[in-house]
Amino acid sequence: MTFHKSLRFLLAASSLCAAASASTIFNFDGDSLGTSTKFTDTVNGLSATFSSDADPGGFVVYTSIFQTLTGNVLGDPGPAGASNLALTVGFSQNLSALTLNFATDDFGSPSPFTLAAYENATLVGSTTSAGNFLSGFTFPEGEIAFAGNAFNRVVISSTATDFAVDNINVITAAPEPAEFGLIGTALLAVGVPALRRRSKRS
Amino acid sequence: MYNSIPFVYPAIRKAAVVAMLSVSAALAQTGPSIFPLLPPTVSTVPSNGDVNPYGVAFVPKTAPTSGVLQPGDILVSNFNSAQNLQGTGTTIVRVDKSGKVSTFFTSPAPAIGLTAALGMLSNGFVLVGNLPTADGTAATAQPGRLAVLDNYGRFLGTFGTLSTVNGPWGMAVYDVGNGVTGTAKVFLSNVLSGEISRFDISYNSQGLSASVIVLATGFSHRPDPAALELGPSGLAYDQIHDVLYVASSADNAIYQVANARAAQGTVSATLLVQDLLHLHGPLDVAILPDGHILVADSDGSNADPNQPSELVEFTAVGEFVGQMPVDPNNGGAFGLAVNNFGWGTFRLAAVDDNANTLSIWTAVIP
Repeated sequence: MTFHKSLRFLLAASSLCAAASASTIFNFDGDSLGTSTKFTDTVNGLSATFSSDADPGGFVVYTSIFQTLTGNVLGDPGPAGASNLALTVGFSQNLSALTLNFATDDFGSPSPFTLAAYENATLVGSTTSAGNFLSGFTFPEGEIAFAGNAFNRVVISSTATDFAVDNINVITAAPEPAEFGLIGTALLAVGVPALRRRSKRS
Repeated sequence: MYNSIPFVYPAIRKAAVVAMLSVSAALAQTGPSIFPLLPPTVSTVPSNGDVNPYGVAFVPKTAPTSGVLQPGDILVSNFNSAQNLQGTGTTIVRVDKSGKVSTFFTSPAPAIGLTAALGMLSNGFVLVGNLPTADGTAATAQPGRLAVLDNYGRFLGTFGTLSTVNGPWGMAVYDVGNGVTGTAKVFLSNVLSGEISRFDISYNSQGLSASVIVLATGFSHRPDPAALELGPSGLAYDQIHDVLYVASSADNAIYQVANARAAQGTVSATLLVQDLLHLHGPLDVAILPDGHILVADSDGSNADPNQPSELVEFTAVGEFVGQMPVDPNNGGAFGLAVNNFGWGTFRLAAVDDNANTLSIWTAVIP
């Protein structure tokens, strides 16, 4: 019986580790239309806080007018009426990768769209992309991805007057070595006595 | 190939309608009522009877709400007095969000004859030019000045000398301010000298300062018994491509000045389009969200009774797209301005000089 409990613990610990690196999607579909920055969404225990320099009301949640951005999206101008803004997203845990869909307010050439990742105040890296005009839709849309060392904040910007984002898909970073040590210690603390008891019985 | 902006009952694309309705519905949950709606046309005649509306400018969304002016308000400058003498009007009227019209500023003599050189900075400061006459004729026209007002309508001072302010006739403002501090490039056309000036302005809560260069020269200009003056008139600045558009009423053309923001000295203007079929004394110009340019035909030259008071749309490379009259008679289209709301939605305000009214449309780029 004790052994089975320990086994269950091991399985649970394993599941927790797997969950810690699972992907989580923020798509604003659970937010009310008109929700504006600054606000926080929480999915699978991971919180993302959306903000801008024009808050309150720099960016707003509204219904998509795009193809790859679906349902609700987050874009500017919000109730504050400001354009040419950067969107900052802060996460409650470290991430190892992030992708998102975006659209830019362009009628001519699609403007560059940049995602910069930070670990607290330290720049981890950045990437720039540009959307494409899709048949039947007015504004260029694209996807941008970043992966690298752990980061907990991204700053999203474009030279376009306005932009919108959706489907922010993030993967939390694997536990640090110190965290692995703690997990191992816990497993030993529970597992070894159980094995000893089993050994004595036999 | 090119779509014209939808002036009348626009076939607004479904997606944009859905988006706007959704946002409106959402904001209505916590925001104020949409009523009263801005009427499509309002009178620009103030209590002193000034007529002949010239300049149009939107109050920027960054403007502080502590003053008289509020973000989204529209200002209109009057060129003629109640006696309808050109170059003697003294007022700027304010059209607020509900369409109510009030006098924002009354200029004292001799700073009369407020022109289409009307613009704003992010902090609510108003820039306005004037070209005064003694009796409404070109023979008595004077160079005028470029005045600065605060957002309560109080006169703060003037910029420039005769070499850079000589019959200010049109204006474009590129402002990167935040509502309190900032820098701006203010482009000014001078109809008495045929030159374009650029004022590089810095401002903060303590005041503002400027340096100035002559950006472009050599524009055709001349006095005219009906239009008073013809020459470089309305200006519009494309900040993405750093290009200044110049409406030239004397030769029915639109010019462009490249490198307009960064130039350190006088540069050459190049002809974008000279279109005697569609341009009839172009007096003002604005840029639409898709980069097309919109021109107001004053009919001060090359008038065509079959094409009166037209607003004319061209692509950014000068190809004709479409046109629409603002008045059934010649001589009605003067000042205009475009306020971009994002994602192709914009508000267009244009005066009808014959009726002394301002028309306001909200539309979506098709």
